Amino acid sequence: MGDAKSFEKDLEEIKQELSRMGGMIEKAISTALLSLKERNARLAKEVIRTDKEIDEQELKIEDLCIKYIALQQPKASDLRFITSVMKINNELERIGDYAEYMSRQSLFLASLPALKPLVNIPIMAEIVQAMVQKSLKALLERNAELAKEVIEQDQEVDDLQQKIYKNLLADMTRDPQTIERATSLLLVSTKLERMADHATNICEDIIYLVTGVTIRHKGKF
Amino acid sequence: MTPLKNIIRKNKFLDFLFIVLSSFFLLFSLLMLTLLILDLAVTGLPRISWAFLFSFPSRFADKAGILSAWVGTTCVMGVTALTAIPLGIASGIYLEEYAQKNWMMHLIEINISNLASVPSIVFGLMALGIFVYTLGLGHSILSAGLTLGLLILPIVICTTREAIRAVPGYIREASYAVGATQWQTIRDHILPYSTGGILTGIMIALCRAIGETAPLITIGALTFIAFLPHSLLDPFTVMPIQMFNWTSRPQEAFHVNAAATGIILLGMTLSMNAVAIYVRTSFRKKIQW
Amino acid sequence: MVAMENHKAEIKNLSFCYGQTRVLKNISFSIAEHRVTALIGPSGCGKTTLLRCFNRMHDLYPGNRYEGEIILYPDAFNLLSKRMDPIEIRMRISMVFQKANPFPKSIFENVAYGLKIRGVCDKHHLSQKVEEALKNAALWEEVKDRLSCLASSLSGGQQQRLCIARALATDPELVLFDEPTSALDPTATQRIEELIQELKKKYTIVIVTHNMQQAARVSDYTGFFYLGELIEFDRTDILFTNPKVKKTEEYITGRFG
Repeated sequence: MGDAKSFEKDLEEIKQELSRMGGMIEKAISTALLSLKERNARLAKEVIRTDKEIDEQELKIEDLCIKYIALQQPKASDLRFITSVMKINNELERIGDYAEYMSRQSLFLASLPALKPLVNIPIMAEIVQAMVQKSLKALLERNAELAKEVIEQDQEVDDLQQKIYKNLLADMTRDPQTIERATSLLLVSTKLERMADHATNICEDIIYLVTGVTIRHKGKF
Repeated sequence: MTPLKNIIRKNKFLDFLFIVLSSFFLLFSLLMLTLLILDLAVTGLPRISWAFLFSFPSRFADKAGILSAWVGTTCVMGVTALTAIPLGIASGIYLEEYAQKNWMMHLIEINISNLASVPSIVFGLMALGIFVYTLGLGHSILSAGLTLGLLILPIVICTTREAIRAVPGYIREASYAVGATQWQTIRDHILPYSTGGILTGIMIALCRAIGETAPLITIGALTFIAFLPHSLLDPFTVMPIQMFNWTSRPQEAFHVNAAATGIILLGMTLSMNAVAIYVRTSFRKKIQW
Repeated sequence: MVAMENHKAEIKNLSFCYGQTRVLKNISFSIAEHRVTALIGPSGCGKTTLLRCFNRMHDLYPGNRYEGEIILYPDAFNLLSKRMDPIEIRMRISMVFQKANPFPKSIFENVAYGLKIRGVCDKHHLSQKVEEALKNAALWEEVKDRLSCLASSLSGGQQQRLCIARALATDPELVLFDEPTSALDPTATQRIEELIQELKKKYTIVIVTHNMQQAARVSDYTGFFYLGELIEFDRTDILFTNPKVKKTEEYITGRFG
């Protein structure tokens, strides 16, 4: 019998659906960023609309995982894989929610005059995008090294967030007219920072999957 | 010594006692058997010669031979086999495979086992009435063969049934599940696999028949025949009867003749048994459950 | 209950009495074509008895009585009808037993026997069909050089695959498996489970197993039986993730049986 065993086919399907989910999330982040930079309401609305598809995809993956556990009784690394997939699935969906939130802020900001050209937020967003991309790659390749890289990048994002906060605080103190818009931008930056945290969680799960050692809740290593 | 050790010691001693006793009884029986055969051999072996085998009986011990006797035995055994084997196997197959398991069949089964324990001389008496007189077959090889055939029939039936029963049920089910009819299952599976057991049973039955004397005397086998039979309806004698005749004569020389005949008869029985064992082992190699 | 797919067989109000005891009680469900249907339940629940109704194996022993119908499609025959010849049924429906029971003959003879009693005499045709059956049973590569060796020279797992080849040689419409791996070690068991997954592309399969996990891995539809009754019948993925009857849930989670 040359072709794959049936449980391997089921695993493949789950991997493919997760890849698809990852692609949807990456697109959501980049579109949300673009809508912010270009003050494009149409793009923002698109991200908000596609969040529903992301939610459906999350449910689909969860259902596939539960069925796989019930029908195939996975053990050892297969079992760690499935439980990690289920957790990562949730984390991705949260990231998707934040992208949608970003788009809502973008819609709001687009209706008002621009505060100032965005510099740090796009940098932060690009780092976050890269983190999400790398974490998905690490999962599908079961690459613990790549996962460690992502975890280390979290500090960069935290530092950027601090910088953005200080700058926006200065802007708000200087000119109270800017408070509404500055707050909105601040919220965007906190959501980006949360996205990075979720990407970090994903990578901690990947390290558990690959090595069987859990590094969650242990702080930096 | 602890109480436990005492008990163990006693048990082991009883074990040892049992081994000693049973070995003794075994050796004793073997010894008796060996002495019997040795006695026969020492007396009879020197007498065996081509002349002995191919001469007719005679009033003179040194000229007497067993030609008519072993030819008679062979012919009678032939008729016996032809009677008992087809009837016995067919009956065995019918009883085991086709018969309904009701009270009537149960009755038949009981009667068959009872038949096996009827004294052989009673068979002879019945044969005298039916074969010799009523059917008019006379004091012939045919009567003798039919009598002995009936005598060993229950043995063949029972061993055939045992052999068939030894075929495991799951083989039958496998055959039926593939779409075979009852006869196909019997022909292609049950019979081939029980052939070993059936053949062994036939050999055992024939060994029994070859030594039967009483029924043959009853139906009138002659004790002195100086010619060979030309047909199945001719008079005859067999080796056991020849032995019986010679042992009842006073001359020592005739006793030697009887011993020689005994050795030959023993040889025939042992060879038949050897064939039975060989058949059983070679089938056992092929048919593994 | 279960809709949409083509039916290969339909069981309607089937009951079975062994002497005075009613062993199966009013069972109804259907068998989907080209799918694996598993029958599970604790010992004595009647699943093997039900399986043996399909090919009328109970006819071999006295004192049994069928009630109800088993309709085989596409001809719509009632397999339990007195007018249906059990021999004909067994020629269309094959069975693989719990304990591998190859005939004490050669490997070739074992597979060819079913064909011979169907009147296939041509040697070339026989060899072809035997090779095909052994390939379908994933045994050909291991035995192709020793077809004339005795079946008893094979290992337990190989003997069972030989029995599967024997069952497949006659192009059955339905293949019945009665706990086919309960006497085998895990590796042999896995091979046969994979084989069953392959076989469903060509055949329709009904399997009885007391190993729930096997039913979960291997089947598309599962029926849970208890004390002669069909408690629940559904798609396997639904039955094992969200059974609708409490008893099914209890059995599957290991809380009884």
